Amino acid sequence: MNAPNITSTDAPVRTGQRLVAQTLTEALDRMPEIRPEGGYTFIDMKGEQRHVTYGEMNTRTRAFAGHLMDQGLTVGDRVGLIVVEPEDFVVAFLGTIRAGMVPVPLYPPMALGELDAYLARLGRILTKGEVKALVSSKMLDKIIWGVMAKVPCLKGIIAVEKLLEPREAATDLPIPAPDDLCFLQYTSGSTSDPKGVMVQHQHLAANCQAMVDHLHMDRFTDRAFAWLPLYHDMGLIGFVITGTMHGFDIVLMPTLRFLKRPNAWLQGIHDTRSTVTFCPPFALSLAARRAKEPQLEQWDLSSLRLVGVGAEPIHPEGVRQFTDLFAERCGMSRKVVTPAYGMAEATLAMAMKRPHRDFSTRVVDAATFEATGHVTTAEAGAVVLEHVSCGHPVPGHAVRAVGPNGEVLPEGVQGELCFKGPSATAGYLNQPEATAEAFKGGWLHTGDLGYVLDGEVFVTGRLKDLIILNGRNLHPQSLEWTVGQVEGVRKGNVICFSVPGEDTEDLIVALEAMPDAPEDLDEIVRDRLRRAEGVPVAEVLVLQKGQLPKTSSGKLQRRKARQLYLDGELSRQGSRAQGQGPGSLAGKATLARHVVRSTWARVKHQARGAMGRGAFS
Amino acid sequence: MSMSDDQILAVLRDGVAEVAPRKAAALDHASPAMALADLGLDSVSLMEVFGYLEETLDIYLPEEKLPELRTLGDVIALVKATR
Repeated sequence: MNAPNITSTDAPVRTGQRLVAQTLTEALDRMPEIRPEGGYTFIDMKGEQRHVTYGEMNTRTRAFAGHLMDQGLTVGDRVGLIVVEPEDFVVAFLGTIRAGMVPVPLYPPMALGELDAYLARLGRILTKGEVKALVSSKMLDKIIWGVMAKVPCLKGIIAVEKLLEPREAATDLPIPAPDDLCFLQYTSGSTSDPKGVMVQHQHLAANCQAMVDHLHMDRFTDRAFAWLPLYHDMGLIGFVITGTMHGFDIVLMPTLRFLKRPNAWLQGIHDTRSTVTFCPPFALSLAARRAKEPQLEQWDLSSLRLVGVGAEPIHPEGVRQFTDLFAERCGMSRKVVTPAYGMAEATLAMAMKRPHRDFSTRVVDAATFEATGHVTTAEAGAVVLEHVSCGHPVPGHAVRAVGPNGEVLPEGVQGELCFKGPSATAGYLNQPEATAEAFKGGWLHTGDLGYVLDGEVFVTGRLKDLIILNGRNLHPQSLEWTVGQVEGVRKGNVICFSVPGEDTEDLIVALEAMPDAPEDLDEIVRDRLRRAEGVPVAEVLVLQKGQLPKTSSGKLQRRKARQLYLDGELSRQGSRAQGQGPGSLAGKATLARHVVRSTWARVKHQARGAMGRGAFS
Repeated sequence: MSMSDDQILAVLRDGVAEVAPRKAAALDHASPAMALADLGLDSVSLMEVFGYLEETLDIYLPEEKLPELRTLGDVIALVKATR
């Protein structure tokens, strides 16, 4: 079948229902007739449900569009959205598109956020995105107001509540062309240089159809449940947009409700008999840990077809625990957990497990793989890596791995994963060079390391040393710069990297200190990163001059530092903070356990599960 | 029924013990002046502790108030204000 398979491609066979329209605008118009009862169910912070039919959504988004035009905004204007309530967000997002304007979904200040860092980043995005108006929840007014003065292109901040007031539905709205810009998706990428991905109507149509086909979505029987943030691609495209274009039922719960009460997720699926849900990997282990006897007794999860998981490296053990627990206790199918690989630059989905397949991993010989990048079977007793399969590319799209010189690699050989197909977006707004670089040769270069084998995609790491913390992509360079500003730190002698933590990754900071550095330098550094970048640090290693690994030319070796750390060899002098060091794994019970644990640690380090960059996040 | 600061602090400690058992000891001799950041919880876990407070005390902590919380004392004050 896959004879000289260097590229995994699926023939564009249609296995699901066709989308009802090629644009959101047309879909909103047609859906009330196709699914008169269907629509959106919004669960609020207190757990109350509200159903909004497709017909109601059609009317309300037309009214919203009218309000925007009343404000003097016109076709093509960019409108930032910082809207907390899912129901308000969906109306605002779709209403802005109806008006022919370009929504720019932005994340709200984190509940416990670092406001200064947040506002600085927000200001940069609004400026770079040439955003003309900002629509925000009234409760954020006080916090957000300050950006007005700093962003010259911004003409005003409008409370979303005002735009949601009753108004007659606007008629005579613009009809978008397939290659019109639909919205700007800001990746959670670097703070200093945010990139806005230009998503056109045709990209959404292509990716939504591909997901519908790949996952066999049925508008008459599927109901998708999400607590994902809606300003991110996984929740926005996977649920709001695909649902609206295809017509399955959508249930949306605020992210904060899940964070406060993790059990509300599966309880909600039980209550609504939902069939599809998606989450980042940490949610699987959190859900399994928090479900107690009363829940396990009560929940019937037999309705679930798919629990998609992506956005961060997938830990196979977490998947197995989730599957074992809820299959045994709550009647959930063992095939539901669906690793998904995607990223904003590809609209969303690039590859996913097919619904009828089992969750699978590939166990490879660690020494060979690390030395050569080739997948080989491990002999008994050898140290192994376990790579999670992200399944096949979505229909009509292709994924392949290429070497450092752009050469296409054979199956089972690690390289940079590249993606091609109608879902590949138009690149980054106002950044032709970054766009040309990412899409060179007609292939989206993902920046992820991985390989293709038997047609399935495996993601093994990141080409660059991006650090992903709770779904945020952080560039080590910018964190290192911040740390370098701390008095007592030898400038230019800081390395930041991440290691697998319990749920997400742990950020480790290794630095060389001046002889006269304050004793609590580690606390100062921790505090500085928290305030300036809003990131928690798992551990600060205070080293002496010359202890960080460097090349002969004096360049810091980040990867080597990480490996030394994982091997327990990066000398530590400062006080250890929380977090279990790799050293503590040794000598714990039996040899078998030791192998499992060390494999686990290495798997997590080496084989960054399903998603490299902020894909699906 | 009004609760004392100590009673609220005790519920908070139970919440941390439930969510992140290893971090609960930090609260054994905590004063209201202690910074939330010093609990050593990540933001996901801290949010779950708030969920625990809500469930146990049958209150609702409005999300727009959460960004203003800095210390244990701030949390205690918010709990009192919402009861």
